[in-house]
Amino acid sequence: MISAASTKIFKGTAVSKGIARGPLYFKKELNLTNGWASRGSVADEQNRYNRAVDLSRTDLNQLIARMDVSHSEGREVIEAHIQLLEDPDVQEQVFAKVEEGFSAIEAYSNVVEDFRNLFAQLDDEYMKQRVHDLDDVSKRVLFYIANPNEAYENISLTQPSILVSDDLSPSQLLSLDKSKVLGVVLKHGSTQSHTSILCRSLEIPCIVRAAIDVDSQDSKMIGFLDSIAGDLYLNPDPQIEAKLESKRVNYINELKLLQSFKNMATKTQSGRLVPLGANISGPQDVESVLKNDAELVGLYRTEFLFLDRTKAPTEDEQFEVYKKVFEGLPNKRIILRTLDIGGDKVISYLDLEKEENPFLGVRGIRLCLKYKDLFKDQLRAILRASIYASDLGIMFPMVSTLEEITDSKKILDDVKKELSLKQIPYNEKIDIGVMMEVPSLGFMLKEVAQEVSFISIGTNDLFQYSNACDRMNADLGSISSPNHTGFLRFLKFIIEESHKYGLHVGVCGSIAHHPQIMPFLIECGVDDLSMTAQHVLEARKAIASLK
Amino acid sequence: MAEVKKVLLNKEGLHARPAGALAKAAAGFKSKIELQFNQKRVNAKSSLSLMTLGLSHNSEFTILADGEDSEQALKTLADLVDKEFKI
Repeated sequence: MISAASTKIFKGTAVSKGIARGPLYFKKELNLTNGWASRGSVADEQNRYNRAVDLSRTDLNQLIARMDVSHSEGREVIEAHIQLLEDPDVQEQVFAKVEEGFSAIEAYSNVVEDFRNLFAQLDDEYMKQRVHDLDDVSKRVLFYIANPNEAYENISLTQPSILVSDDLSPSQLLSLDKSKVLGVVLKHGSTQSHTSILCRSLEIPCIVRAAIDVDSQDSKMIGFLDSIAGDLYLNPDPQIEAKLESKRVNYINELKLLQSFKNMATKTQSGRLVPLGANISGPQDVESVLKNDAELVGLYRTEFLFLDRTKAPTEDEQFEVYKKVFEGLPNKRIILRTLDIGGDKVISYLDLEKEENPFLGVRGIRLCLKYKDLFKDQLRAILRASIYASDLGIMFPMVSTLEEITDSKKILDDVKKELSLKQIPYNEKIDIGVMMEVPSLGFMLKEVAQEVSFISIGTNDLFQYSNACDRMNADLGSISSPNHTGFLRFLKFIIEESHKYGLHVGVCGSIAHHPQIMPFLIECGVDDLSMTAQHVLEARKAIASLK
Repeated sequence: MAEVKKVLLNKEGLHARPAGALAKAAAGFKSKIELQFNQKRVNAKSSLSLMTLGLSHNSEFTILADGEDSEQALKTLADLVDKEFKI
């Protein structure tokens, strides 16, 4: 008889849908015990520290060697880590503490802690964040002081498993053999972290923020990961297992059924075509656009390339990235949105003022028109890459006045002239459009139509601005539901006005695949919808049953 | 012992990259090199210590050097500060 009390359930937040069953692999964090236990002579402890620094340096150099040559940003980060690793003040203080009688591990931990405290006292938010770099480096060094004969990055999956860990960096995930990763369960992490985004595009079931204690678990257990509900089951009893198994089979059948909607146009029963697009943020999403059979790219967010770095990407770097996307998706319409960042994001290389209300401040096109060189670099890169695109639209974000449209078009024309003078080719047939996110622009579509050929309704921001409602604020409850009569009437008005003045109108916010709102948008006459690629087939199936 | 007073031109302050560049340049000299700001003095060859000074845009600070190549060191480092650490 099997003990019924053995089932353990851990709740987390689902970030990548799927169901997986298999053995569990627990990625153990630092094992410091042997380092604490044995304390050698002063020379022993100093050698132990030196050796850990050497091993860490070898690791980091190998990391650089493995990196793509074009990845200059990644290289800079690792080089900065090597500099922290070899910092003379750290070494001096560690040696001094060892001479006072501390073990290498105690000495190093203390020194790092002292620096942590100094950083915490700094006024500058960016500088406070540098503590993470120090943490990255010191974790590795501490590991090697304690375990000089083991490898730090030691995820070795011998069989297909569900990986359970405190945290997982994108590079750690990418270094794994994907056929052996059945699922990922993280104690930390967040829905929008790069690791979560990667799991979604690689279609690896994943939950984050699971309250699981990695170190106390036994790896002989069998796990059932339900990342639709967001639960991890350890050693489920036969009853639960049967239930999960049937859920898994249903899910797989559902996926199979969705596959039958591939390679066909999206249309309603009456035959009306509603092309479905994917929202993407770079070359890494190309595969999933193809796999999920999106008919266009309704929103190519370019800001990914500009975040988490110490200086702006160069024109050439941007050119290579845009080209990769365009070449990867030949014959598809692609709507590229120019840089959409603002005061709510930390961009260390722009001296952005701290704003009281960043969402009402210098963001989107407002920021681009303020930092014209940054804007021109992007436009030049887009135009140079445009010869690889067959059907390209450029779209300006966060537009609230007509002047912003005319100014942006003027800059685009200037850049085109520059390129023509230098005899650099670009695609002559690029459509221009704007994001419809600022409510008052919805009452100026007659004038907007004189300047551009399409609009795309960014429903997340449009809702936030028209309903005075921060969608990230969980306390707002049902008030933050976009299924709001006034808002829906506004959407209808925008779609009708657009058609009255000859504007093509798409929707690219998260309501584009909302089960109740999507039929409404189609009824209003929306021209196309764009969403995360993984939702495309599901939406196509739903649309096929509409009249 | 030689010293020179400088003003930080970088808009973002002495962030990770400029601190790294300064420490790297300082490490190329035999002299003992330090940076002083607001009564706090740190080893200029340590990027970590440099960052803890919290130097921001327009901060006035002193570079001090002591050793056989101190003159050359001050000249090189002052230059680097003026060029906003763009090598």
